[in-house]
Amino acid sequence: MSGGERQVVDMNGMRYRLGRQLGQGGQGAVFEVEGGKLAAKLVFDRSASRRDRLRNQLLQVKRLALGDLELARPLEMLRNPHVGYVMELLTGMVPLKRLTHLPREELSLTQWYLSGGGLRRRLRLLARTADLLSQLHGKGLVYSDPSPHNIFVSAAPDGHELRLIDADNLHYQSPSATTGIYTPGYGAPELVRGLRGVDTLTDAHAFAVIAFQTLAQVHPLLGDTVTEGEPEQEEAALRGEFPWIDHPEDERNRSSLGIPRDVVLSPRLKELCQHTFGRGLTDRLARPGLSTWAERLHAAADATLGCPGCGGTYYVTASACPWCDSAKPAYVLASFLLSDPVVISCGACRTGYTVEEAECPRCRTPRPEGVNRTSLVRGPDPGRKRQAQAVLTEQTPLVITERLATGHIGRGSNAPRLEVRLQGRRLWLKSLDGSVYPLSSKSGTRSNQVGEQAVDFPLEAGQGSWRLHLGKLEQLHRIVGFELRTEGR
Amino acid sequence: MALSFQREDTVLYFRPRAHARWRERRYVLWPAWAYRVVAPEVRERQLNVLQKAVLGMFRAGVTTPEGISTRLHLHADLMAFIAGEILEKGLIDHQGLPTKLGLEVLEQETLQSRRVVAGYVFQDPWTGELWPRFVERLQYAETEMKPNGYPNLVLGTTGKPEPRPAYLHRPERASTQATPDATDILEVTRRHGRALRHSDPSMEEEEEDGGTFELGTIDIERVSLIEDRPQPVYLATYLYLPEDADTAGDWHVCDPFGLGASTFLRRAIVRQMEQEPTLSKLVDQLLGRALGEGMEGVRAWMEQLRGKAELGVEQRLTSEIRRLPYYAHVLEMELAYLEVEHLGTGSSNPKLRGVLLTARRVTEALFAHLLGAHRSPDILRRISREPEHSASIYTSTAAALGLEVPLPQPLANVKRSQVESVLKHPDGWRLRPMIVATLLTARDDNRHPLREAARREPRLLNELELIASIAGRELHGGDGALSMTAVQETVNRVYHVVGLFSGLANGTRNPPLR
Repeated sequence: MSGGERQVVDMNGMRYRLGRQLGQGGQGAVFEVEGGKLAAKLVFDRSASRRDRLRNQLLQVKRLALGDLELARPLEMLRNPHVGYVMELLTGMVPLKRLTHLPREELSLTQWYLSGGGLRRRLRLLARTADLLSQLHGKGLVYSDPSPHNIFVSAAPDGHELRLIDADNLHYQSPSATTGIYTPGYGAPELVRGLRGVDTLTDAHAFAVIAFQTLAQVHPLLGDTVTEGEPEQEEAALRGEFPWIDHPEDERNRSSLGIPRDVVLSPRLKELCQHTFGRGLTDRLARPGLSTWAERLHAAADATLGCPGCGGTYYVTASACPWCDSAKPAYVLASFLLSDPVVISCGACRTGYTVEEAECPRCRTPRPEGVNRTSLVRGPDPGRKRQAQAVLTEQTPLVITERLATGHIGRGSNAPRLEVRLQGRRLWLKSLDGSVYPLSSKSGTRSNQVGEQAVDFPLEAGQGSWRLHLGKLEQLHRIVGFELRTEGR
Repeated sequence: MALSFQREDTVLYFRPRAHARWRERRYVLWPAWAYRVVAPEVRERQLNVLQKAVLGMFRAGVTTPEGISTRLHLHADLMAFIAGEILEKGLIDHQGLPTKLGLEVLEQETLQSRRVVAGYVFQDPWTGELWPRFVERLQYAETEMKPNGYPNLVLGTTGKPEPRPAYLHRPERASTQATPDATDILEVTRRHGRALRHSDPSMEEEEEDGGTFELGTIDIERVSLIEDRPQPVYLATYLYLPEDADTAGDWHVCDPFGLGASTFLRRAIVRQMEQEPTLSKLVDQLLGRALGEGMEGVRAWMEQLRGKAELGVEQRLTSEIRRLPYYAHVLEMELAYLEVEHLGTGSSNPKLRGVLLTARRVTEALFAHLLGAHRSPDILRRISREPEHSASIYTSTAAALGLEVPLPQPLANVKRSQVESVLKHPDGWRLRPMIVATLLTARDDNRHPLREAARREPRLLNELELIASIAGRELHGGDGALSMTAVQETVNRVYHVVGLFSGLANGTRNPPLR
């Protein structure tokens, strides 16, 4: 790169004029490419062998079939004498670190937390991160070094975009993994101890730390004893030699810092934290996988309510806004159930059986004539039929995405299917994808359809409503019931 | 296999920008063939014209502000200031000697680059005309497919993408045009270079650049196509109405390559609007929305109506009509017509009459222009003070030019003195004598536009008489009830006549697209 005119050339002979430097790290620097939405990462390493190794690693990454995963991956490799690559320029994005570490100049943790999009945005961004890592794992790849420094998110507090940077971190999972890279604080205990290389489980540990830190604003392994003790104690804690800060029985490493967990962690997220930082510290196979994190984080985000008082978001199970103590607004709880038309429910013992059978296999009650062929399948929670739930208020409409409509997580799961709005005591529904969705009354005696033209129906507090079918009636599909709740009024 | 444009073809986005702040805009994806070529590098301007001149003086050894001032006839203080600027840029040293960088920049600014690079040129799919733009790298726009299969443009940042609806103009019957040769490509880079050096990016480079740009030592053998087959692409840009009140009535379109407003593309759009109602509707919407917003003030509304009128005139008579001296009258007629059309049933008789008067004024201005441009003083010798004799001369002249005879009686009744008067004062308003004078002039002038008009419309004199009679009646205090249909017919008739005489397209009686 000449001093007067800084430019680099890629393997195809294309020249790139470099603009301002966007960032610099220990290994290299990132420059904006003039006249386009590109950036060039240049690696500075004087060792010829390391440069060759890095070039080969980057070439491998470039050849990976990554589809449209949200990764700032190499688009073109640079030609000698440079080592590096050209990638998408990330504009309007900042590292996740901005949401995990309270800046020194900030006086109010609550204000700062809410100004960054609050709880719901953090949950959603984390869910998408978990989703992305899970998709990489599905391809046999590990990211190796998840940390708040190399996960980039929208700078705007209402943005939900995400990119993983430093694609040179990507590796194929291998039992003989020798790579032991990690960012201090985020390495799994076996990595810190130097017992193993990186794999999906080390990614899972790093992600769990990031998630806990982003939501609760405290490191899960660094309690008061550790942070106030000798540096060796911190190293020991990161090696998994101390209990985690919220261990249900062992109180040696409690932390006085952070946001109360009941405010920011749903019960099912607490369960994942306990598995990861409890048994998972020593038994790596006990750590939940990234797809479980993705599913539960999305579900937690769906179950949050916007406060009309402070603009913060909180779990719908709270009795009032935990940030400003305002009363809960009227809201609609949308419950997603699974309907299997080939299964019917016995009127006497509630056992499900297929329509091909003439009687209940359990209590021998004959199948009723003209039975409603739709029955609901049990959901993931014990004793509950609900597959998922979401909340909407007058201020915050609900967009039913592919994920809510089908339970599918991953690529395309954010595609919008329907919009649901609450106006007074009426619910408005509109198709966003051009499809027509059936509606049926709770008794099943009346039907209607939702298309691009909005339809509406009244809601009564505490009463069931029309049901929206998210698939063909004769096939296995999700249905949604809406319930108006006015608890705080 | 013949190449064609598909909805899924690549969309390119080179950051189009308006020449002024816009009030309203609509995104458009405009088709073009992209050819991969090897051509001289095009660089952006690094110096303004004064800096270039002063740096040139330093190179010539004139290093004092006073010396430069004397030679450039500019104030010494200004010269000292500019010398400071180029010193700051590192183009001269403290002794006043141009640095190596200064000499390089000066060469780049005055000579076309000798370095050839790979890049792309773009061709209009209908006319085969090349865009005067050369880019080294295609910049792909992010798009998202709508359920109807057409793309939305996704702008904004990576962190906050902003989907923008865009109208994709897909040529149904476009075919590849003549493949550009080395000379064409060189011309494109030359014109692009000039456009970049232009002081005001809103002014598209059309004229010669006064010799400040020389053709360097380009070996034309080194300029070539890399691939013969072009790639179909869509260039993302937008149509807009400027915010500035003075020009609000006029719509513009951005150069897709980021160089301000583009007359090249505007011409192409106006051409296509005649064939593609959706495109026409898009421009209408652009103007229409502004109309809706401007209803608070009549002044603003009228300005916006004027924009729509300009568009209407261009649709009927192409943008070339703007060059003709009676364009203002045509515009006035369209404006008056649009006003009554918008008012609908609320239009009063005086309003309708006003349109007819503007229609007559257009015809008068047209004939005044013809009489001014084609003079023949001998024509008076051919006609006498005897009305019957004059009428027979008019008739034989009309027949000789291929026009339908007998003449309408009011034209045949035009007196010699009236003809004489309009010849002396062609800017007058006596329409029938002007028509007769023009008729007589055309007999002596083989290149007179009336000859071609007569060939295309033998009933031309009858058409003119209809205009003269209805408009004349109203001008002289007609008090009968007027219908919108009669007004519309007269306006269409005037457009037809203007089209015949000007030779511009669409001189038909079809009503304008509204």
